[in-house]
Amino acid sequence: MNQVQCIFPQGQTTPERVLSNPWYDKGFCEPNQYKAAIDRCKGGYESCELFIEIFSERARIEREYISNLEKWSAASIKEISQSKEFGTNKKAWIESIRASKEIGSTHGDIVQRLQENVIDKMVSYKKENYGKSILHVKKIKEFERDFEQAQKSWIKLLDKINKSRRDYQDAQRLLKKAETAEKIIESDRGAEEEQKSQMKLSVSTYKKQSEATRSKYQQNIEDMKNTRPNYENSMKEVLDRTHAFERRRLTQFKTLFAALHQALIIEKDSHLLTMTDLFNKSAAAHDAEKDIQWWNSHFGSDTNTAWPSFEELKD
Amino acid sequence: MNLFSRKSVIPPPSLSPSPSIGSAATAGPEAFANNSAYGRGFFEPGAYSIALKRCENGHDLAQQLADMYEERAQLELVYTNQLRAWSRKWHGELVKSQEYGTNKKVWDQSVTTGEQMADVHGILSSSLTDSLIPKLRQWRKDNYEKSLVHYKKTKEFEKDFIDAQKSWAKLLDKISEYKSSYYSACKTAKLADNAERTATEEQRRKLADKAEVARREVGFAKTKYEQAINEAREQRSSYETAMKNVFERTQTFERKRLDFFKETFDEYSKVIETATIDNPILKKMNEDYQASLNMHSSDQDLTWWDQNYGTQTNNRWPEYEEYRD
Repeated sequence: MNQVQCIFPQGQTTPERVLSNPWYDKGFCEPNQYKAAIDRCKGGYESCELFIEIFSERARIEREYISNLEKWSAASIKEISQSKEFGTNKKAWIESIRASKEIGSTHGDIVQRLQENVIDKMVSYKKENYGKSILHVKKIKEFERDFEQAQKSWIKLLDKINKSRRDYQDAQRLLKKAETAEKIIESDRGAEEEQKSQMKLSVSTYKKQSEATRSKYQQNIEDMKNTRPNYENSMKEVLDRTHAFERRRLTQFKTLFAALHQALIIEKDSHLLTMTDLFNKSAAAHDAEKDIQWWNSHFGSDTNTAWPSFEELKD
Repeated sequence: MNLFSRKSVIPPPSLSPSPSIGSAATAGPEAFANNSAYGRGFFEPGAYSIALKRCENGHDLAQQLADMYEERAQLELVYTNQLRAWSRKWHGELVKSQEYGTNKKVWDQSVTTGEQMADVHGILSSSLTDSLIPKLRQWRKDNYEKSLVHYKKTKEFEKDFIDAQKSWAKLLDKISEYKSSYYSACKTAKLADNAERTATEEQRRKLADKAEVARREVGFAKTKYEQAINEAREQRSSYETAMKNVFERTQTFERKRLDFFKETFDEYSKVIETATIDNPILKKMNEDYQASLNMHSSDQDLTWWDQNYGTQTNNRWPEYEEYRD
């Protein structure tokens, strides 16, 4: 138990937080201990909500990235188109932007998978399994009621046992006191016989009382022993249902974690293949020599210069 | 004043200009030189300025390229930081949550993917910021050193063009001058002839002299004009050579820029591809995740819970407790 010092504080249903964890180290069948199971159900509901919140935020971040990428790509391409750049260099410039824009599509796929296969699935799971009615989750309330029902008579029995134990022990105490007093009086030579016999009577009464209460107490214990198997079974039955409910939830979570994994994998993504293709094509098409020649033909030494020639005066 | 009779300029058939869009062409040779220089011969006076303009454009374009990459690096960084913050925030929340067991571990792993993807995009961003962009800026600085208002290189080219063109320009002026003189001599001679023809007996002699003088003037002026033309013809090849020399240097300068841009585009594509294809961090992310998924065990979690809070807990059952003094 001491090794838990380094672990971060956990929720109430985990054993590490020993001091403030009311359920720790108690037996399940003890009164109100079933609340640990109820808390687990509630925790499950909160987990579903947390899951949705976490991954919705993730989707939002992706969408913002995609939007920024698209804006940047469009603005850059427009600017380059209108710039003073020319030739294959200009094309290569534009194409390299277009290629890197494919990443936006890849992330678009990621976010779509995230939304459809993970988040939306959790939303509908939560709706189906944790249907609410005004104040609480119906299912959980059901479990709670069933536990209470199973435990009701048991608690009454425990109270009876406690009371009868107190009664017996009170009786015993009085008996002991009386017996002690009797001894004292017996050995007191100056005591009256009247007193002695009164004392004897007292002891006898207390003895009877003690025996009666003891027998009642023992009887209650016997009753408890007889009732116990039924009680345990009833409690276990409800508990098993909560186990099944939790198992369902854990299974669902596992499924969705796997779906999330698939959502994030971009290894075989087709957009990235397109991107590589575009990059390669644009690099191959870049031709500095061609650009130089082109410019030369239009503005350079290959242009049609008019050279001075003798011009006769026309009438 | 139109000094030369100009042949129509036909663009070479092998390189067709891109279709111009509307009146303000954004592509093709028309766009390049704002229409004004298009259609002029390079060797004509002042036409070299287009080559100077191209040099200066190179600086602006390098700037544009760097700015563009800067913006990209920024948006990657924003994404990176958001992912990282997301990962850390929810890791903290998960630790405090009601979740338990292997389910919690897998959940934590799924949140860690944010951190790992942040690393990938962080590297993308810093590759641009720390490597590609500084290289670009340094190149720009090295090639476009400034001196007061102009770029040194451009000023150098300009000076050399002017030098190469100086005597040619003077020659053209001379031709222009002599041509004018010749033409006005012709006109004068014509007038003198007419005057002679329509003159009276007494004026005829005087006017005949005048006409004779005028005709002789025409001869002189024509000779001078022709000589100037010949001079131009002789000087033409050395002039062309001189201009070509300077021009070739601008071509080399431009080729250097084009090559550098190509290099930069290649590096950019590598940075992007590194981030997305066969990326080792993403590989590890997938492997880690898969490993944790494999460890997910509802049974284990439920059993653990049952042992700590369920039917396997140590129940204390009421027992007969004897009275003790």
